[in-house]
Amino acid sequence: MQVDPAGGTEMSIATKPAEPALVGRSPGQLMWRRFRRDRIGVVSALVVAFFFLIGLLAPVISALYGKDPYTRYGQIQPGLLNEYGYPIKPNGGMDGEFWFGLEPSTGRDVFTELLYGIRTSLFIALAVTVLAVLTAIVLGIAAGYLGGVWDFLISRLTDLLMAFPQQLFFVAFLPITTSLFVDPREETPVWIKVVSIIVVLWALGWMTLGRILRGVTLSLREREFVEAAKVSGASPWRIIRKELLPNTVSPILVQATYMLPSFVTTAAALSFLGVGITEPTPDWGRMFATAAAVYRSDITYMFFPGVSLVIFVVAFNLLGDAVRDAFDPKTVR
Amino acid sequence: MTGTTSHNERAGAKEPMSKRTAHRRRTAGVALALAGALVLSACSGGGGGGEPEGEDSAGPEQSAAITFGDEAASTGPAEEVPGATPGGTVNVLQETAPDHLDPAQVYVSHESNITRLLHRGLTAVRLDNEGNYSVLGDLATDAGQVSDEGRTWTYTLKEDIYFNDGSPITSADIRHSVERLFADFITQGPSYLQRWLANEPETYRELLPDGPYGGEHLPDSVLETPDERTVIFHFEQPQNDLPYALSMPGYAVVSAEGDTQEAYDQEPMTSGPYQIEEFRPGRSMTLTRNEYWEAASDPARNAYPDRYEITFGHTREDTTARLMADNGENQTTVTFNNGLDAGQGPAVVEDPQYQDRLVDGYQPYVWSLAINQQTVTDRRIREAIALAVPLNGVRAAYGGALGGEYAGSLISPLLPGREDDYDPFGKVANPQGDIAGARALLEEADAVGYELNYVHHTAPEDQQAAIAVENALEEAGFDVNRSEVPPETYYDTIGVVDSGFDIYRSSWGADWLSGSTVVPPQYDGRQIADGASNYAHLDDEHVNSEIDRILLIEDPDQAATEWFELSKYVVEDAVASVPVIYYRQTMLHGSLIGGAVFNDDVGTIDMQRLYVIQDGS
Amino acid sequence: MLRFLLRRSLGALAILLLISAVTFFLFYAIPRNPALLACGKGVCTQEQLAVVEHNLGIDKPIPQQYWEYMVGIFAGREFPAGSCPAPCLGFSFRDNRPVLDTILDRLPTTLSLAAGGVVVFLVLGLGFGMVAAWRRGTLTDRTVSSTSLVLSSAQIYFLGPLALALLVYNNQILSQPGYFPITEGPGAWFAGLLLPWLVLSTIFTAQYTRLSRAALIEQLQEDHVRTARAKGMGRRTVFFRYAWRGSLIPIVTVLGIDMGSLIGGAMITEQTFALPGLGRLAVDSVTQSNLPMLMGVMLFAALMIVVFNIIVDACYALIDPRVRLA
Repeated sequence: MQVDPAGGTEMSIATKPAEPALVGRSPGQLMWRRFRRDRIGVVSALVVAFFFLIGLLAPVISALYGKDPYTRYGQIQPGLLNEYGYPIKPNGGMDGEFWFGLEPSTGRDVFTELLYGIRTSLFIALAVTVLAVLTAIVLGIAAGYLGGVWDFLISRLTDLLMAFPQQLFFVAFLPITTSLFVDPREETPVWIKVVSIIVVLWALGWMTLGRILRGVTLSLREREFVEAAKVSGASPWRIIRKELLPNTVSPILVQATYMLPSFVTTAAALSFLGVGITEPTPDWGRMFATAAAVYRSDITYMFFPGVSLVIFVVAFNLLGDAVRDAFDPKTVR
Repeated sequence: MTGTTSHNERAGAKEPMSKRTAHRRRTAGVALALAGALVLSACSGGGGGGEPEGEDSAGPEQSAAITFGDEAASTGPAEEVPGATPGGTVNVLQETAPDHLDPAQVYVSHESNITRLLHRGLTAVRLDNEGNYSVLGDLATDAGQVSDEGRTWTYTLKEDIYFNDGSPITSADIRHSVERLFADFITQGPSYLQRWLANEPETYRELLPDGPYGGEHLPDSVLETPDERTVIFHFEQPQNDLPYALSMPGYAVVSAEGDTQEAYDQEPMTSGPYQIEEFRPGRSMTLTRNEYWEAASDPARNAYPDRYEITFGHTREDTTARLMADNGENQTTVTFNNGLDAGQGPAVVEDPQYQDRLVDGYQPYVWSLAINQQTVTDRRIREAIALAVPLNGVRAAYGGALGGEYAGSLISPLLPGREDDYDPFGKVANPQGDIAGARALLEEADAVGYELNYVHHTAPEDQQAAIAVENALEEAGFDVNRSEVPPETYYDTIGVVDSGFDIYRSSWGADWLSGSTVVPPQYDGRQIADGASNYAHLDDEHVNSEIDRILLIEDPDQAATEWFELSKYVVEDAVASVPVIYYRQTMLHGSLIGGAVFNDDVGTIDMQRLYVIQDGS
Repeated sequence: MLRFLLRRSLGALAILLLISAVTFFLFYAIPRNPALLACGKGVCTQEQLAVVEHNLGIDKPIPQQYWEYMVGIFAGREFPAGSCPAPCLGFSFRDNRPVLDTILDRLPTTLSLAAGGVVVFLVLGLGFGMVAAWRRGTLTDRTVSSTSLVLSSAQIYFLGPLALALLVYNNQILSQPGYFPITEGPGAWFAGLLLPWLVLSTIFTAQYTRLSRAALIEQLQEDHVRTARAKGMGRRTVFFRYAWRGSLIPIVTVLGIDMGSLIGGAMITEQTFALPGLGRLAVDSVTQSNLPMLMGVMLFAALMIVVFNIIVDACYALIDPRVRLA
């Protein structure tokens, strides 16, 4: 089966097919064994885990480091920023005290800003991924298993959402979603902005996986073991839970590893365009908006968020390839 | 909503926020503007977060009496700019396209800057070769003949004045232009003249509810047009500032014959040296010569270029980059509103190769933080706010030294009568804010943890500034609840008397060179109303009585000094507002543009004096 | 073919109708006053608000507003501030102008950007993909594959400023990006768009390299290709005549999606390089809360996506005669 057309058909650089297993092992064990042998896959999994750890431990790290992402160090301590708001020290003000330098104009610490920015972005992306996967499971399996009217309705809904211009949809509906929660004249709490972003990304984020799951369910429905379960009088719920769901784990895992980084970059793009998370909440994507404004006088500022984002996305894509290879050793490489 | 256009938001509907339109001569104004750029670059070398030197060193003090042009001065053509040659095309890079072309709907600067090339009014302000400003008769033969102690103003129209269809401009057109200001659909322009004529600040439209369109006209007791060339205004109160007000682009002439009401906003007739050949909203506008414009009748416009090609949608970054490159068409390019961006600006002002292509000056606006007097009633708490506000945090949001200069007073450096080193709370000297002092005052008032509701709008620089203010206030011991509203509803929000907000920014600029367009609109306690511009809701007997007294002073120099004294009371004693920065504007222009000087009256490059340097000489 | 087009067009129409309805109701049914936002800058008094509400037609029930909007698309509409001839996608009260006029005004920029970008990334992407597949397993392949992996993970908002700094400002290798109509000088048009094309297509090139390499390799393992090879046909002939043709199907699918969304406006590229296209129009409309404009842009972009879907399906038949458009 062809996975996500844009991100799935390509393959990774190395990896050999696993040797045929001689002892009886469950598919999960087999997959795990295959994955462990894939050195690139393991390394990228570690990199990805590292990013999540950073996000999780951001408060701890910044407490140890002794700075926070909100204090305007450059404005409070004289001698850090010049009259135009740029760091006086070369390389964006990097030194022993401010490891990644200072943010121009506000004088905030870039290191903690990035830590917390990663935290915000990963939280959003993770939440969207979970919601989108759940939605795809419910709607995809319902369409495939129930068929008939349900299939028709869900498939048409998928078609409809697929025809929405994605970026435009996000940009246009984000403020509207926000205003569903609060009157535009009133204060918008940070959590409402976060929830709005999650809702908007979720609305258009589940269809690819939903289609895949529908296809998987359709083909499974005709298979002997499902037929057998039906004949033996199992309830539809039991069939879905015991027979269908376990067989969808592989496409779900593979697809989710491709979805998560794309949600990170999409949310970052929204911040770049000025409709995402607002000041002063640290945000990975908004750092690019700041960087785009100041890069001619301080290109260093762009370096850390940029490079870390590229590393993150590459690692996640490699991980996705590795997961897919582990599940399906026959893929072309 | 970034950059300069956001500074130009309007205030309450009835009290248009102010854009100074005329002011008196300031000695060596132009030289000063250029010197400012040099000072800027000189002190940036040291870095270290130093203060810009400001204009202290450069500025010879006060101003001579304001010049009203007599008939000789008001006769065209305009004084030649030395070295200028006619012809060529000037390209203009702008961010926001005008939403309005009907002059009566024009108020904000990105619109009025273009309108000044297209339309003429009864009067105009001219910057001459010596750097002096004067109010001249434009369509009229002089700046106005006053009688009846300022209650009656008489204007006589020139003879060779035409619209771009060749029809002559007569007193009927002037009457029509004035009367239509009262119609419902004219909502965006200035409202000084209407309020003066009606002698009614709030309900002036009732003087002529449908404008001239219902067949009604203003009675002769208000506006008289006895013959084709005479226009007489009658006011109930003395209005000595009328010549300035009439030079606002919003009071330019509209053809009585050619008026298409709402549709005039798309296709206006023009009376100035240019007409609109093509307008693609949001994209571009081409101005070509209006063949019926007579240079001999126009003392205020040189109109050297044959064409203006104005393109929109250019960010400050894009504009600065193009002008730095100075290649091809960019050599004959200027911008009216796009100051240097914060990213490239520092490099530009520090690099000697750009110095002779820089134009620098103050905008008329002062960024100040209004403190709601009705809710924050303890003066010590207000002073604590004033002490804590970090001027550098706010200024950094507007591009640091490029965006503004630390303000000690509520009166812009463009106005006379100032004490330039006035700094009552030592904030200019200590722009981080005095957190310890603020905390001490709070403790003294037993108000640590005092709750402040702070509202600002969602434009990036406003957000960033608000966060700096919030941080500092919280550090001083306040508990700040920050709210944000979209820019388009911002002044609506803070204009409501019981909005429940305690502090908010209000950027104010004088409409002309008099404290009378700064202090009374903002601090007259009898003008507290929803939508009015007394955002601090200050109702102080001393201020009220002083306003009445100073308004009657005839000597402008004395009045200027008195206005400044009163503004000191507002800052120091009432603590109604915390002055934060004087906005400034630094722009580049192409190397083949001549005559580029900063015009303090329009707050940007003087578009009337521009010319294209031919043959690269 | 005709029946196919007719059937697909009807389906597309249904989708567009639904999109317009969803967008319309979300835009206008929200619990806030759109008139307040439609007032534009400055402030609205109560009476102005009432005028704006009347002009917008939002003093009527929402279904009726939607009906009038739909009728306007086919019959045109009249507003107090001006007329909006059919097809009327709405009327922007901010600049008193039919929405479609502005869209058509911005379209050439977006079209130029998309067309140039597509040419660059198709040529380079398919080229690199072919090289990598042809030399599969060699150093060349590994270099191409890993480079394209990294580049496809880069983002325009990171690459764009970087490229501007390196190629334009610091070294003056390329000229300042900008849009000049091709009718006013193809040279300026080309020079102004060169950098945006390159940056936009860098990421796409990387993706298409990966895509076409994988598709080619998959094709080379297909039975008919292997049979042809076994029968003694030259490697080159097999590669170009059979495998390449077969690999086009997945590429065309993705290309259709990409084209549709690019012509709807490449927001980030246009924002990064200050190009006045549809993407920037959309972003500006959001910051200005210009709902009628946003609605029009949304419909136009959806139309492009749907149209390209149909084109893709028609292309299948051209590539592979076995596909019948039934």
